[in-house]
Amino acid sequence: MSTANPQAKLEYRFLQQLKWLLGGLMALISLVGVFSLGIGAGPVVALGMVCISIGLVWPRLVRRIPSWVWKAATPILIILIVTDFVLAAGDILSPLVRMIMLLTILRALQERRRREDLQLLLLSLFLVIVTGVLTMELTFALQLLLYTPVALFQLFTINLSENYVDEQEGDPEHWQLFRWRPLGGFLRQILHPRMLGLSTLLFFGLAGMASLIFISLPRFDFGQQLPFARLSTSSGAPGLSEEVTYGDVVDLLDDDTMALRVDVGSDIPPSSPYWRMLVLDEFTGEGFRASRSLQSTFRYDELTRFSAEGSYRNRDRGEGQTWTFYFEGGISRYLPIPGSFHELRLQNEMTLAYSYPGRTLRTQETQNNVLFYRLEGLDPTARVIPAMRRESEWLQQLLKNGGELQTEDPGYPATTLELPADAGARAALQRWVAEIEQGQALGPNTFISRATAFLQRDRGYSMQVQIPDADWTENRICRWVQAGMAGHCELYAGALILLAREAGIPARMVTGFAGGDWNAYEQYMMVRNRHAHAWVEFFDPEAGWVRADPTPARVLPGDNQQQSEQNGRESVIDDTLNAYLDSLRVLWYRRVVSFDRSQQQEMLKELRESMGQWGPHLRERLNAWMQSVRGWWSEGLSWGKLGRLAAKLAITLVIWLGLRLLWQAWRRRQNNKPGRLHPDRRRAGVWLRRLEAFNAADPDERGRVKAQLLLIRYGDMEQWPERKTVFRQARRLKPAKRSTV
Amino acid sequence: MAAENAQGNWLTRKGREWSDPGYFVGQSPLRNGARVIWHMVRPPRGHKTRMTRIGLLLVFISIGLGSAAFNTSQNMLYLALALLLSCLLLSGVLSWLNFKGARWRLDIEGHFRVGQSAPLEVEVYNRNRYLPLYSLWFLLVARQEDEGTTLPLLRPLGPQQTRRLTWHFTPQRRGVETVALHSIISKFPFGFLRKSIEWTQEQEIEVWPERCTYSWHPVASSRYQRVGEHQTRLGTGAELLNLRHYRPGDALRQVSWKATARQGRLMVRETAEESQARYWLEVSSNNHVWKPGEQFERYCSLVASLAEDLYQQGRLAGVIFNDEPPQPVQHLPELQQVLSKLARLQPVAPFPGRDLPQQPRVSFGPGAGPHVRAYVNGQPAGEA
Repeated sequence: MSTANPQAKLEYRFLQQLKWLLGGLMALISLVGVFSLGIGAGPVVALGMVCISIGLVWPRLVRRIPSWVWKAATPILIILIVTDFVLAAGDILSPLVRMIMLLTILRALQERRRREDLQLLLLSLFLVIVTGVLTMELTFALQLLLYTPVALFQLFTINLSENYVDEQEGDPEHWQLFRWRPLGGFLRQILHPRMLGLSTLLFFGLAGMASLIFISLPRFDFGQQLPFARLSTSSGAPGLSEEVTYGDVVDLLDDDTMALRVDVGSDIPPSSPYWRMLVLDEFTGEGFRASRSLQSTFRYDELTRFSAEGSYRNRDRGEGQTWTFYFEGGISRYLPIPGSFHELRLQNEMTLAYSYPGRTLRTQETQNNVLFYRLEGLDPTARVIPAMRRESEWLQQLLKNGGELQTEDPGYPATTLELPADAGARAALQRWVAEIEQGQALGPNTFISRATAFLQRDRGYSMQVQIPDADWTENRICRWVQAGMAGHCELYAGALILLAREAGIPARMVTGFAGGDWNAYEQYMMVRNRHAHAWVEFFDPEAGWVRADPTPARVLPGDNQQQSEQNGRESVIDDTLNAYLDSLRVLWYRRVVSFDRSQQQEMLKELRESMGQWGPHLRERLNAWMQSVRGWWSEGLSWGKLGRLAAKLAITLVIWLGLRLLWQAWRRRQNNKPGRLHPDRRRAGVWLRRLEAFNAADPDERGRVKAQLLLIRYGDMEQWPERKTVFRQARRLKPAKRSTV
Repeated sequence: MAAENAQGNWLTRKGREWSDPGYFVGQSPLRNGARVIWHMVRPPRGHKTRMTRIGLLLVFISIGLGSAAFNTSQNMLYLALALLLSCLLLSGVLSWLNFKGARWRLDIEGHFRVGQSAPLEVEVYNRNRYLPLYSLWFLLVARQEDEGTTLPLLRPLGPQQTRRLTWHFTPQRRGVETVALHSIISKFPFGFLRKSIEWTQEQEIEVWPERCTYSWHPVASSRYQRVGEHQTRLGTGAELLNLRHYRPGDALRQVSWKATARQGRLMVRETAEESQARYWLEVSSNNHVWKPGEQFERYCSLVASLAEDLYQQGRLAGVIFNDEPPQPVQHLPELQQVLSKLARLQPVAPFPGRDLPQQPRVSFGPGAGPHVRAYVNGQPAGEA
């Protein structure tokens, strides 16, 4: 109780050291999450974590840091934080996270008392929550699982330290006498197996309780939420932005990282899905880009749900499918959309722009983390996108005029007829078109089919394309067509577009993803960056914009059938270890991140149903068992049946006896340990204490039982009375109600 | 501790009953469960549960997280909120479990004297079968002195174990002091809640007068020693009269170790009294003479000190309190009774005279200022 008690002083010192360790651990766990935020704080976090780790292993080093360093650290930190906020120019979230991170590192490194320990706890908790909310990754769950016991243990230690009222916090001795071995001994002393077992039980209890609360907390309807701060990034994948030059999409094909996960709500993988993201209408000579006029058609709005309007809307909502998308951050600001849909729902309100002519959706900036959205009433099989009425009229008018553009900057949709100005290229295109048409007047569909066949003739797929120089044109596509060599999706799509335009068919390039892998564990689509693809949409006056993909399947040397399908656009079942690990993430997204009111209601309904079924099910099982017994009996007894019954009973008996012997042996072993009292002696001690605590109705009986209990507790074992009887009598003495305070 | 009486019955002495939180006072688990739930709604008298600063902070964080979660439908926020709420719940359950197994009682043995430190003990018992008892604070107060202390249970108390927590209390005033267990407080396990149970036990203690320095020089007188009369009475002389078994209160110096070794149990010598004068102390607290205050306290101190010293010398015949019958003092418990009476002594109204023993009587009267004088048969014999 007092400083004069060396044992208490020692315990207090250990508790202080324990607080130091736990505080450092909390800081480390919370800082790990910052890496996944991508706010440019990686090196600082890494340095901070190294310093904290050193401080944890050699705490005395921290004590050696001169006090002026800490004094100087505060103003320097304030300057850094203010500067960061000023330079961030309106972005509050990133500097805020960096500020908490810096404060956490500082507090973790500094010598701490109770107040600072609590500050560190709060800072690290805040950091864990902020990183979790911003990343929404499975690592957040792991972080919480690690952080919670450490934080609770820290609070427990702080609480225990308060008992030592006479001890002074911040005693230099705690640091000077810091030794791992004595602290380890202390930890072994307090963390004996029973305590560890109880702590583990409590931890699982806590996790279970948290899960129950999480499930039962009321939720608002999906789509009524306020906007939530999200981190954004200025960069995206090069092949999936407004301007694509040759090779940009192909560069992604070596990238095996995940781009998109799609929950299709069924066990059957979708067939040849095309994940449409961007429409590029303007030919630049070096590639295609979204023209300014097309980009100006985007209309921004703050919304949580977007209802598709006009011709793009899937009319039949009831028959449409509901797909949930988990779009990885840092890929593109354009959302992959596989077909016409009725409604798009976002998890939170955010700024979204929709271009009706391009039928594309995009966010204001590329998201840094996973973006969740759901398409309802989706028709993923739609190959044709109906054109807008005005767009259609304009294009048809343009075609009536011979397809000749009147101005240099024609604007959308006239850009879909734009051709290279290069005379050599134009001549070549005219020659190839003539070859395709063979003097016939072809409809758009027939022309595209023939042009595709023309392009694929004697060609294959290749990602390494060395287009030879030519003096007749600078146009890379025309030179590639002329060379008759293998190529990749951008070249095929580009060539088809130019041929179609030359033939007077409006055409545009679309980029996104095609195909994907089907996760065999959790039944969802995994679209990786290597599934990036470019294809064509041509205008058919009678239908609208029709998808055409001139790129042949990508068959690489050594590929088997499944791989060659995979290199095409078919979904391939993936049951590898990586797919299993990825399925855990989706499980997290499905069960936790996307958990909403509808799932809550569904769960409640299932619970009600299962509860309703439980009674009849049990009755059914019981009846079945009774019937089998009755059948067994009615068949009559035989030696064989009796023998089998006897064998079963004997086996049960042997197992029971074996378990009992094991249990008794274990008890004996425990009781024979040095310093252990016989269990009956312990029990007698317990009853003696209990008898003291209440007044028995019959004092004589109480005295007699007490004497016998004393004999069991302290007497010679040979003189012991019948113990069970004595304990039973003691139990009888206990009054029905005991007087209390 | 419980004691066994002559009939073999086990009795619990007053003030030594165990107290508990009263969570499970019945045998029926159903009723107990219902009672526990009802206690959560309406805590029993003296039971208080308050949020600590950390707890309040946690609640505020939970409210903030909850608001953010409800308005944004961010499941990460819901998850963090669920975890915080479950931590609060767990804290409440553990705190309840910790208290559930706790039993305690005041254990005040010995005697208290002004200015002398004596132990006041709280005995704690962990009734739990498996769980240790953590972080209980016992707040003890001495009501008259308006003094208190906190006795923390530093190390965890294992299942079915008992521990004593001691407060070395030094009373400053003569009289009857009430020592109370003001509250039992626990912030276990995480310091979110401060649970307390108040005024569970209290016990009165008598604080004997302070020992004082005094002068004592009685005039030698043998006129009360009748010449030729042989008196053989028990006393502290050298002449051995008898050997008997040890009785509580016997002085240790009276123990005959040889006889003890022979008999295998403690034996004491009874010796004849030296032929010295034995005094009766006449304690009168007539309020015409004595007023409450410093002098009266000194008077009590002088009587107590003199009584003890005379008893030690074997020269104390007894004490006469006001109009009470003379109280002979032969053994220690009788002396202790005298000291206890002195602890409670207050000035009283004058009383009529009566017959007093013939032996030398020591009476007391006020001296100059705060001093008090002692007289033997009317002759000044000492002063304090």
